[in-house]
Parts: sequence; C-alpha cells; structure tokens
Amino acid sequence: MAPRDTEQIMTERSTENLPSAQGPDGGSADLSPPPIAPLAHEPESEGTSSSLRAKARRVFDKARVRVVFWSRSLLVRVVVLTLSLSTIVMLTLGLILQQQIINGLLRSKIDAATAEIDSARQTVQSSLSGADSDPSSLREQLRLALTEIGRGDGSSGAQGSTAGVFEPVIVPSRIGSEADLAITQPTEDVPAELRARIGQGQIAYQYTTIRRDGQSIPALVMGSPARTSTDSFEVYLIFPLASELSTVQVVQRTLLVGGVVLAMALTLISALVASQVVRPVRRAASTARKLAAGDLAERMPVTGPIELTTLASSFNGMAEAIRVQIRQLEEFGKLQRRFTSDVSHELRTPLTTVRMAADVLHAGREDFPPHLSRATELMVDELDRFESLLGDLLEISRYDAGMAELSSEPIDIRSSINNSITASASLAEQFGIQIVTIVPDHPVVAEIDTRRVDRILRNLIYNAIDHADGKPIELELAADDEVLAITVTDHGVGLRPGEAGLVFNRFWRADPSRQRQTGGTGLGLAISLEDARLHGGWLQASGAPGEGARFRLTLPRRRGGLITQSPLPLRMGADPQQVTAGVLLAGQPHPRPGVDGIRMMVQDGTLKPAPSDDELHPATVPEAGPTATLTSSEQPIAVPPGTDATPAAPAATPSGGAG
Amino acid sequence: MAALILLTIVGVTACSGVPGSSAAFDVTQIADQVAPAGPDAPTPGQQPDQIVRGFIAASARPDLDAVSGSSFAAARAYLSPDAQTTWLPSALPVVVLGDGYRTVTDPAVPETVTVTGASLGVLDVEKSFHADAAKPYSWNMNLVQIEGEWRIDNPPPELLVTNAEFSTAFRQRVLYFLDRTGTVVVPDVRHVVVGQTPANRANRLLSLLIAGPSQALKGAVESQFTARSQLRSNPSVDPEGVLQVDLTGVDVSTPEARRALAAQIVWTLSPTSPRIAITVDGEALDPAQPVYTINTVSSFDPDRVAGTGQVASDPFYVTAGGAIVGLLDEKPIPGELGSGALGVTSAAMSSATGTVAAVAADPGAGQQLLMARLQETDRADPVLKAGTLSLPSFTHAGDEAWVVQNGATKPEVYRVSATGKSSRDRVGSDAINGKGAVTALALSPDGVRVAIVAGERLYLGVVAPAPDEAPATSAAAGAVAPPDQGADVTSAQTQLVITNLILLRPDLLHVGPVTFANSREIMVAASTVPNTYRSVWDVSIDGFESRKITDQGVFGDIDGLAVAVGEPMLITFGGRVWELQGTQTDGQWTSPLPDQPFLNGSSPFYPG
Repeated sequence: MAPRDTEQIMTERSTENLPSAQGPDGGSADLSPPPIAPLAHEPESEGTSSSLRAKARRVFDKARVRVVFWSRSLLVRVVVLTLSLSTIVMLTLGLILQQQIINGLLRSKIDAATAEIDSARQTVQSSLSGADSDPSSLREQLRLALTEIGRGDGSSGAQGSTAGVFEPVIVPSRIGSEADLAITQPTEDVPAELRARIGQGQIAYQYTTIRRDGQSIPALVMGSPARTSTDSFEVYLIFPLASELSTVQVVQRTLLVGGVVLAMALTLISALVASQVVRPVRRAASTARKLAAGDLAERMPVTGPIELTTLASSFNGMAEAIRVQIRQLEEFGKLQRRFTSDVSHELRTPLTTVRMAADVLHAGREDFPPHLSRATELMVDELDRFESLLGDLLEISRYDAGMAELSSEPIDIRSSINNSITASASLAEQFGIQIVTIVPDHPVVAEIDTRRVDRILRNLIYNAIDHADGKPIELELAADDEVLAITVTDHGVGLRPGEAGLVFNRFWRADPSRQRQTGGTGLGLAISLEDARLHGGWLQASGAPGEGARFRLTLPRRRGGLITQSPLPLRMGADPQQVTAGVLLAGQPHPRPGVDGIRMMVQDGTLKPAPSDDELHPATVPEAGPTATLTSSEQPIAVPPGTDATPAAPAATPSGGAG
Repeated sequence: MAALILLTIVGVTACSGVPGSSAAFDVTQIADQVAPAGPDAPTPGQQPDQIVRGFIAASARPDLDAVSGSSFAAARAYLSPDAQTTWLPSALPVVVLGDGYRTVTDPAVPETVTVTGASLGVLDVEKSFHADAAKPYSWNMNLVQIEGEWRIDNPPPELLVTNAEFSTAFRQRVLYFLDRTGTVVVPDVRHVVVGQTPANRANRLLSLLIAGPSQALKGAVESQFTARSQLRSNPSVDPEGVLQVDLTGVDVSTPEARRALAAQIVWTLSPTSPRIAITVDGEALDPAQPVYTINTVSSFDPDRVAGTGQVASDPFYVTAGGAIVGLLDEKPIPGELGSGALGVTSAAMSSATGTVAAVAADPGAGQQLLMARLQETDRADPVLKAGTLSLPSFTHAGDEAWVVQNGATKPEVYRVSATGKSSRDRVGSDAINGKGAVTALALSPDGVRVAIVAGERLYLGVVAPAPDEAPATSAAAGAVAPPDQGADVTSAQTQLVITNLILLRPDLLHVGPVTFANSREIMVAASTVPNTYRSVWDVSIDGFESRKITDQGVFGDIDGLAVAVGEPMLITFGGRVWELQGTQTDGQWTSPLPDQPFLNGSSPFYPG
C-alpha cells in the first residue's frame, strides 16, 4: 500500500543518500543494506476506502510525530505539566472549598429547619386538636393551621428567620384523605420516601427539586408527624434553596475565576523560569551545531549563572581539544595522501625504465638458459601487476586530491556491459565460470563516463569471478526513466554480516589467506565506489554466507539526476519474482522498464536457447564462445524472467569476499 | 492528562453544590409508627338488602372512624367506586328514618332494593331540625356487583339515619344569636356530629355560629358575625384548659359590640368549654378580660329574671268567681282584679314589673283586656276590647303584653303597652290566617319566638321587624280594623311581624294552652292520639324533642298551664287546679292544697 511504500522509500532514501552527503572520506555508511526489501507492491484494486484510511493514518502519524517531537521539549513539558498540575490542584482545592461551604450552608439550614419543624409540629398539634373527620371542615381547619404555621407569631422561629421562607404542607395520615381534601398546597413536592419515613414516626428531611414559576429549584423538605389525641397528621415544610443555590453559584464562579487566573499565572511563571534554564541550553545546542557543521572556532559565551558558565567553559574546552585533534588528523591525512601520490609518481619513472629493460630481457629470453628465461617471465608478470597497482594508486590519489573529472556522454549502457563481458570472457573461461546476462532488448541510453563505468563493471565481474567458486555469475540490467541499475551476482562464499560495508575499503579482504587469482590490486572496488559517486550514483553490496554476494550499481540516466530508488533489488532473496509479480499484477508503469523484453544468456543446455534475432550484441555472441552463449528470447510470458533467473541462484558454492 | 482534566471538570459541574435530590435522612423519632388503617369493609357475600341495611347503619357512625379514614368511611365502603367519589355525606341533609323501615327486594330484580319508611324529620344542611309528620320515605337503591360483592351505586341524596341511632351520631347543640336590641342571646338549636375533643366541638360550633342563624330565625335575630368574619386559626385548648378562639373580620369598634360578640361565643361554647379566651386578629378582645366564662356574659341570659327582682314568683289562679287569687296564701291580689267584680277569666303577670294583664268579660259584649300595675295602683285599666281575647303573654321586660283577639273568627295579634301609657300595636300576623281558630299565644323569654296554637295545632314563629313597606299597611289595618275602645293605635314603635311560622310538632293534636318553660323549651298541653285527654308535653323549640310529662292523675282536658323555674307545674282541667308532685316523668298531679282534695279555679299563672 501507499504509506508502506512511502515509508520504505523514505528509509531507503535516508540510508542511500547518506554516502553522497558524507563526502570524500565516507565510504562505509552507504554499504549497509536497506533494512527492508523494496517494492513489495500490493494490488491497488482494494478500493478507495483503504486510501482514505491511509490518508487519515498519514495525518495521524504526522500529528503523532509532531506531538512526540514537541513533547520532548523541556519548556513545553514544564509549561504543560505546570498547567495541568496546577489545574488539578486548583480544581481539587476548589472542590474541597466548595464542598465545605455547601456543607456549612446546608447544615445551618437543616438546623434552622429542625427548629422550625418543631414549632410547626406543636402549632399543628394544638391547632388541629379539634380536627374533624368531615372533609369540608377539616379542609378549613387545615387551611387555618397552614396559615398559622406560616404566620409564626414570634414564639417560634418565624418566616424570614434563619430558616428562611418555607411552604407548609399538612397531610392527614389517613387513607384517601387527599382525595377528599382539595387543599391547594404543594403536596406533590413531598417525596414519597420522606412520607414513608414520617409515617414511621420520624422527623426526617430530604432534598428534592421543586418547580416554581417554571423554574426548577432544589429544595429541602423537612417533615414531622403531628399527633393529636384523636387524629394524626404529617407536617412538611418545604424550604426552597434558591438563595443557597445563588450563594453557591457565586462561590463557584469566584473559585473558578480564581483558579483559572492562578493556574494561568503559575503557568506563566513556570514558563519564565523554564525559559531561564532552556535559553542557555539552546545556546549551547546551537553552538554545538555550528561546531559540528565545521565552524571549529565557535565558542559559547561564558556568562550567566554559575552552572551555565561551568557548562560553557567545559564545552569550550572540549571544542578546543576537538579542533586541535581534527587539525592534526587533517594534516596527517593530507601528508599521507601526498606521500602516496608522490611515491607513486616517483616510482613511475624508474618503473618505466625497469619495464623497458625487462621487456628487452623478455624479448630475448629464448636466448637465455631456462632458469634465466623463467626469471625474466616472472619479472615481467610482476611488473605488470606492479604497473596496474601503481595505476590504481595514482587513480585513487587523484580522487583523494579531488582531481577526478566526469566526462560523460550519452551512450547505450548495453555496449558497456558487452565490453566488460568481452574483456572478462577469457578470465571467466579460464575459471570455468559462466556469465548470465539479463538485459533489456532496447537501448538503454544514459549519460555516463564510459571509461569509468567500464572500469566499475570490470571490477565487479572480476570480483565476482574471484569469489564465484566456479558457479555462474549473473549480470542484470534494468532501467526506468530516471535511473538504471546493474547487479552482479555470484553464488560463491558470500558475505558475512557486516562485511558488506567493508568490501569497499582499500586493500580489504575477507580472508587474508585467499589469493587474488584475477590479479586484483585490492583497490578495484574502492575505485569503483569513487567512480559511482562521481556519477552521483550508488554502489552497494549485499550477501549472505554460503549464498553469494550481489553488487548493485545504480546510476542516474542524466547527468546530475537524483536517485530516489533503484529498479533492481539489492538483496538476493525472493525479490526478482516478487518485483515482477508486483509489476504484473499492479500494472504499474514499469519500475523495471527493461524487463519486458529481456534477452537472456543462458547456459548451454539448461534452458532451451531461443533463436537469436539480436543485432545489438552480434559481437558478443561469438566472443562468449564456448563458455557463454548469448541468446535472446522474446517470450516474457512463456518464460517469466523470475523463473529464468532463479535456476541459477540456488546453486551455491563457497566463495570469497570482495576484491 | 487532558482526559483527567476533562473528567475533573465534568465532576465539578456534575456536583453543582446544592443537592436536587437525596435519600431521606432521619433526625429523631418522636412518635410510634402508625399504620393508617382503613375502615372495616362490609362482610363479604352479603345480599343486596343486607348491604342496604348495613349502609344505613354505618351512616349513623359518621365519626367513629376518624383516625382510620375520612368521615363516613365505613358507610362509604358500601358504595361502588363511582358512587364513592361523588358521595359527599357531610353536605347532605339527614333524614331521620323511623326505626321500622323496610328494605324490599323484588325477586325479579335483585339488584334493586327499595327502602321505605317514615321520615320523622329532616336535618337540613344547617344542621337544624324540621319535624315531619311521619312522611313516607322511599328510595330505590340500585346495586352493582364489584368484584363479586354487592355495592350501592346510587346512594340517596340524603343521609339516612334511623331514629334510634340519630342520637349516637348527632348531638343537640345550641347556638346563640342576639335579639333586636343586642342585649339578649337567642338560642338556635342545631344537631352536630359528635365530636371527640373540646377543640373539635368548639370548631364545629364556631363555624356554624359564623355561618349565621338558621332559616327559622332569619331576620329575627342579629349576629356579630358578618360574611367577612372567619376564624383566624383553629380553636385550640391550651394546657390550662382554656379554649383559644382567634377571629378575624369582626366588628370590635365599640364595647357593646365586643360584649355582644363575647356573649355569642361564650354562650354557644360554654357547655363544652367553660373557659374561653377570645382574640381578634391576635389581639385580646378585651384586655381586661383574658378569659371569659358564662358568668361574664350572664346579663345576656334570655331566661334571666328581668327587672328588679322584687316580684315574688308565687303562683296565682283565677277563681270561679272571676278573682285572681294567690295559690299559696289563698289571698286575692290587691285591687279590682282580686275582687272578682270584673269577672276575670284568665290573667298573666310580668315578673319584671308585676303588672297583671287580665282578660275579663266586657260588660257590653265580648271580652276586654285589663292592665293593672299593682306596684302603683289598684286600678285595672281596660286597654283592649274584642269579641274574644286569648291569654295575654308578657314580654321579657314586662313592658308589653301580647294577645290575640277574635282568635276564632278573625285572629289579630296585638301588643299592648304595659307601662301605663295606653297604646297598642298590631303585629303583622298574616301567617296565622287560615290555620284555624287561634286559641293561645306565648312569647318566648327572649322575645323572639312566639308559639301560637291555631286550629288546635302548635305553631312556632319568630317576631321580626316588618319589611319596609309593611308598616303602612299594617298600621292602616290596625287603625281601621280593630274596633277601638279607649286607646289609639300608635305606630310609633317598630312595626313587627310574625314570620317563619312552622308547624312545630305535627304529631301533637288537640293542642290546648301553651307556654315557654324557658327560651329553649315549650310546655304545651296536647294529645297525640285523637279522642284522648290532653297531657303536658315538653317540646324543644326546634320540635326535635317532645317529652311527655306524666299524666298520672289527669282525667280531663287540660285548659290551663303554668310553669316557672324551680316551681311545681300547675295545670287546670275540669275547673280545678292541679299541681305536679314529683318528677316530670313519673310524678302525680294532685291538688295544690295539701289539706284539700281539690281546688276549683282556672288559668293558673306564675309571674313570667
């Protein structure tokens, strides 16, 4: 899916771009293989819902990344933490305060109401001692008793005393009495639970909500039984808690405003304090960044608080030490390179002389006795090696000196491949190794420096022959509109973990005991790497022990072009088939345009050689001669390239490392 | 973190402080639990007629279930649910049903029970009684089956209470209003549901008192309570037993009004609450009188002896020779009346002034009314002449004597001044016309009621000021109609009229003399069975109670009757005077003179 692709591309790019950023003395970081096999395409036909989900996920990921980033900021952390903690503290404190105030208010209300209900009960008991069972007269008596309670003639806590206003309700404790007595009193505001309590002879209270003038207000209902000698009643006083409610609301508002202001102030203070700490740290960070960018003279100002001056002076000391070290190392390296270059140049002149003398001796070796003749041959051979070594040294010292120049011109890369194969055909034959080439059937034109690309390919093929252990070597070319890639794969001893990054080191060899049979100097891959870089391309290696190694050269097809991905996989595993399958299923514009018309070179009898109609490599075919047969086949459907390539891959024999 | 803050904020807003609901919290237990208990339901399985009888029986227990339910809860249980909601027994008149009422069920229609019986009287919604002459009563009770039980669906528009159970359910109480002068209280008998506590009784009586006089007294009495008046709080009894009455909306502007108000309340309430504190709008009615008793307002007593009290309450009678003679000392009264020369046939004496009014034969024709102020002179002045004159009846103050002239032919009531100034006023008495021959008239001690015997039936009316247009006609009638002999008809005084005349006891027949024993009781000689001798009946002024005085020793039609407080009752029959020996219920009528087996005479009277 798309996000996965993006992620992979990003990872690939971050790893693959590194070499070019690293500059001249890099060379190791680019060798680590991309962590994930690229181009695991999946069918896109799964619909748009997945793409929507994908978009959402992308946004979420982005946000998450941002949050994660900012959450690591000290200032942000301090501010957020202070804000949230002070908010929690203020809320808790506000809650406790509010609860205390409310409890106090309600407690005093209940106390006053208890006194009030006591007097109301006595009033009712005396007033209704003559209670009648006749509904009409009882109604009148209740009405009078109600006004009497409401009147409060000073002996009791009256209306408007501490208890506040109330509405009295008197209910006879009889069955069906409410039906008979149509008294206008808010009987329905008395909760049934409270009535049950009063029926059990308790003085009790309960909070409820009443509606007055269309507004719901909380109320305290206090109830008491009232018994006369002949009858029993329930007295209720309904205290609307409107004033308490408004008091509480004022308290709440005050607490809220105070809390918000205090939390804001605390946050501001903490931000100020944190910025006091963070600013010098930032300054130190920026200084360190400049230092790292190469401005070795950058120093921190030694001012401010003690802790920070200590930090600054320590930092400055460290920077000074680093600067001295770096200068020394620079001087030393420069000296070394110059020495190598000078030595190489100085050796050239005597070598030319020695060479001429040796050639003379060699030409007349038939006249020498056999042992002298042999010595002459040996001397000439070693001189050849010495010359090529010296050439390589000179070449690499040119790179070191930054003298290398790219002279690129458009060319069909297939001719370079042919040239390289032709050049190494004899050697391959000598080792009995077959080279399988998979190239597109159309020209792959790229602006390249032919000499250097030829050298790279040659080096790679030689290296592969060196470590192939007699197994076939595969050479594959693929290209898209921007990029072309060539892989050279052997199935020899392979690379141990970690070695892929070392193969491009100068004079590095995996097994020091192993002889260089192809006459490599130990500098070939290092030079190839520099050549690839000069093109703005990649040269990467991968491999596994016992399975072989693969080198991939990726080059932009236009000079100065940028590489974001490679048309060929670096890893040896299941990739070709996967890539092909992905391409076929998804029907994408070909990441490997060349795949369509593959011409393959197959070993003699393993695959049925297709009739050749290729005019591109007419020369190659005869030259490959007995060991290699260049055949072209136009049957991508009958013989998929994946299946073509695989037969060669599984056959693995021990093979050496890199050149 | 954000979630935590959010949670806290939500928590803060959730507990907004003042709780809008909670569980009930107990404070203290002050009383035992009382489980409200409903009244006992009718026994299951009762038949329709049983249900009806049970309903009528339960109707007489209006208050016994006061604690367990609303009033008439027991009776209510006999009704169907629909009827229960509409049945308002306390607002219904009460029919006093004769004890032997019948509940008849037609076998064809089992759900209908017909209640038939004699209605002895009706207690109207004012709780005042009106006697019926055993009027037939009938009501078809429709019953329905509610969950398999018969229940009454159409209770009658009256409350049916049997005569025997009436007194267990209702108690006679007397309200007191004021007469025209505002100086005497006038009883108004009511029957109220039995109350349990003094406060309860006081509450009921006060609400009736405030509601005003009954229909029979309308216009004849005054009340200090107006439509605005009401109780300010319920009457209650304080720990010292003083009944607290708090009123509002009453006139307390003058001391007279305050005294009158207190008199009404105290006279009404004192039988159940002897000590009463009256406040108006929270202020004591009279700061000098924190607690009232009946003695405080005894001057309003209707039965109080008016005047100076110099007149001895000795009985008199008229001899066969026409002289007025003291019964105890056998001495004729001084003056012409005692001489027998004037041929007195009947006489009366005012206890306030000692004036004697006597009816004597007119030398010309018919009869004449003689007035003799014995304290001043021996002379007896004729003040009224007519064909026939009834026994005169003095007012409470003794300043007037009321007689009926020409009772058999053209009855007219006159009040004749007894103060020496010869004047008389005709009292509007159209109400008695057509009721038969008027043979007797008696004024009540309070001067408001008047008992009249017409057509040998007992009627009771009230004396009320005539309506505004009445004086002219009555004065004219008085001036023209009576054959004036001596004195002019003056219309200086307030024109009075006898109204609200009701047949007091329909069962009393052949009624003879009548007199007021006191302001609440009438003594009347009558018989209940035709063709028997009269006996003396003590009838309450509302006619509810009629008590027969013993008739031991009575063997003739009683034609004279005299009663006085604390004195033996005197009657005459067969031309002889008899005195009651022993109690009223089982005494014996004997000769008033211990040494004589009989005493010839007629028209006994006590000063009254």
